[in-house]
Amino acid sequence: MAPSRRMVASAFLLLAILVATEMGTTKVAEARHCLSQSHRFKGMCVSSNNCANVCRTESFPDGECKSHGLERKCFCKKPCVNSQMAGEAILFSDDIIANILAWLPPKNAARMRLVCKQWHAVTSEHHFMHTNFSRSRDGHSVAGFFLSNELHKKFSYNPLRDSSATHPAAPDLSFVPESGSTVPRKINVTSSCNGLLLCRRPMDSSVASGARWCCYYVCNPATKRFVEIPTPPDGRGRHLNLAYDPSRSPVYKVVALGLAGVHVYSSQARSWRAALRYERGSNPFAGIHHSRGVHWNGSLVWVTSRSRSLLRFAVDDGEGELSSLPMPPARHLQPENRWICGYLGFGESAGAGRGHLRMIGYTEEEKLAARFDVVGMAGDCREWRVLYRVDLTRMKELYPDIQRKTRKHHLIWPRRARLVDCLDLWPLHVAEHGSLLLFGIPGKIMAYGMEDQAISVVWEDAAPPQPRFFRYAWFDFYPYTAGLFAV
Amino acid sequence: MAAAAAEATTDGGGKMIILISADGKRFEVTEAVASQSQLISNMIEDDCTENGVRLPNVDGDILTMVVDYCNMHAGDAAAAGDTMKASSTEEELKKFDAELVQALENPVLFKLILAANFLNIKSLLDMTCQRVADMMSGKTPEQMRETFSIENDFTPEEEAAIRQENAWAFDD
Repeated sequence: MAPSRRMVASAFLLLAILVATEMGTTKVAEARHCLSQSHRFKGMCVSSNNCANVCRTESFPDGECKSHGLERKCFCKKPCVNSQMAGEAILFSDDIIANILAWLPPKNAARMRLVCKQWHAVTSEHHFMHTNFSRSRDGHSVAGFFLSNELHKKFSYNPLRDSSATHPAAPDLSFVPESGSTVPRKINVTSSCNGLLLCRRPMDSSVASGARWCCYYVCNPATKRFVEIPTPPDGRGRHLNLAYDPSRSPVYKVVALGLAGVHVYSSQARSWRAALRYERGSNPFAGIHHSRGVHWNGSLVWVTSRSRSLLRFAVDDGEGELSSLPMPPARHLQPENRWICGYLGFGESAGAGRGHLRMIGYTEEEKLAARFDVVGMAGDCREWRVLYRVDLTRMKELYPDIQRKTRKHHLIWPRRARLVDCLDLWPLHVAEHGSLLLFGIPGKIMAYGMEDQAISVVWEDAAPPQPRFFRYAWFDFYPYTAGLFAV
Repeated sequence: MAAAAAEATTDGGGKMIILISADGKRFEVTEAVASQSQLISNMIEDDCTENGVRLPNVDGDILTMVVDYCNMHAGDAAAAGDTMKASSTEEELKKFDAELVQALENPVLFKLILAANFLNIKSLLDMTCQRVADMMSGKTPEQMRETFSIENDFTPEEEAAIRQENAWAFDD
């Protein structure tokens, strides 16, 4: 049976070759098939015959069942040739409609859901939302930023530039519900990841006792949708980090660092599960400098205190795996002139590849001189490379007030303090594919172009002058760009 | 695609390919120019462009624009070695692209989109789609139905539900 079939096949092939060479006709470019999800077919698609029949009622010649995410759905099929103009009317395939609508600002794209069923279906796909998100921030990796500092009760949103087209109004988080025991109108952001935020509402200590935090919410400020994240299994008050990479999956995760283990909440399961356990005495996260992790390359990364190392927790592949990443070379080997990490962040790279983990660090001298490097590590975790050399010496002339003296206490004799030089200038964020550095000085946030060395003010504190000791650090700065993503 | 184009130009400009529009107009282009179309690039790989490629659903006037576009953009890869030249051509290209789509009436623009989609020329498809999106800004769904001659296939209840679901998008 098998050999004869093979012979028939080769005979056909031979015939085909003969015909092709003999005839020498011009080749007609074959149209691909255009697929469009059936609007009338309901339920899971099992029989392609049924699907085709339904499609015929929708004036498509054919249809077939195709896997679409986890489900099998009925897709109507026609040669793309036929998606020509019929009179004045035009029938664009889903791909083309998606391509057109994805160029619109997210809000305008959402309005187009009202046009017809096809447009509604196309704009509700995660793939569409992701294309729309990457395009709407093309060239501008950040539309604006939240400044959120819980200790100093600070919270504001500030557009980075005149972004009236993409952000007609500043995102307003008042849609996130309040409860009787929370402080009215108070909210804080603890993570910002590709258009989604993780927020929490502080408890009113006069009403409730015990927990400082009521509830965590994952929300999309653009679409005003939110999901309440249940309390992690080992209790309230844990610091949570959001991990969301729409280029990989529509599923987001929330990671809670506990005293005896790490729990991970997934938006797919809508529940928590234990991802890592450790003894109370050997909590690897006990030494992290700040609870805010940086979501990078399928993992969350924290800086340990005194900038000794980086701790990496895998969220995607090999969930729960804990490892450490090296610090930039030779930096940590200078005990007498300690090198500290002043910024850690994720940077989308201009190409399609995975982005860099970016870090700004300096010794005390480098900090005083306002000259330091931005270093980056590619997704392969192999080495740190210098991406940009920052020179902000000019700031000292422009704003002489940022140079001051501060008291430095002796390590052993606290009373034996001495006056040392200090520069009030702090890196906050590296944006725009690495070409823009945002940094803070008292009362202002400024931008520095790495290419043209241009300096400009992007934000000024409207509030009265702050006490000297307060400053926004990189972990108070949450970059934000609007997207349509579902929570 | 860029690599393929560079290869064709390095071995002496490459072969010529004849594209034939629906109304029988013939266009002779180099392989480097034609292979910006993924469809034709695949055909070149399969060695079936010997006697010309008939494009039964692309009219001559549309194909003229497509060929112009591809001729203009085939220089990308060739100029890449010379940075000075590349930066000047980049500006020229932007200007050329803008002029190509700026003046087009809707029906012609739509036909160009269909041709770019059929021939699978991603950059041209993205550019023409972006142009349509630019023209959409500030328009209501009702106006969009008119522009695209789309029938509203929602029941009033469905429409109300979608409007409610996306109320945030209509709040100003």
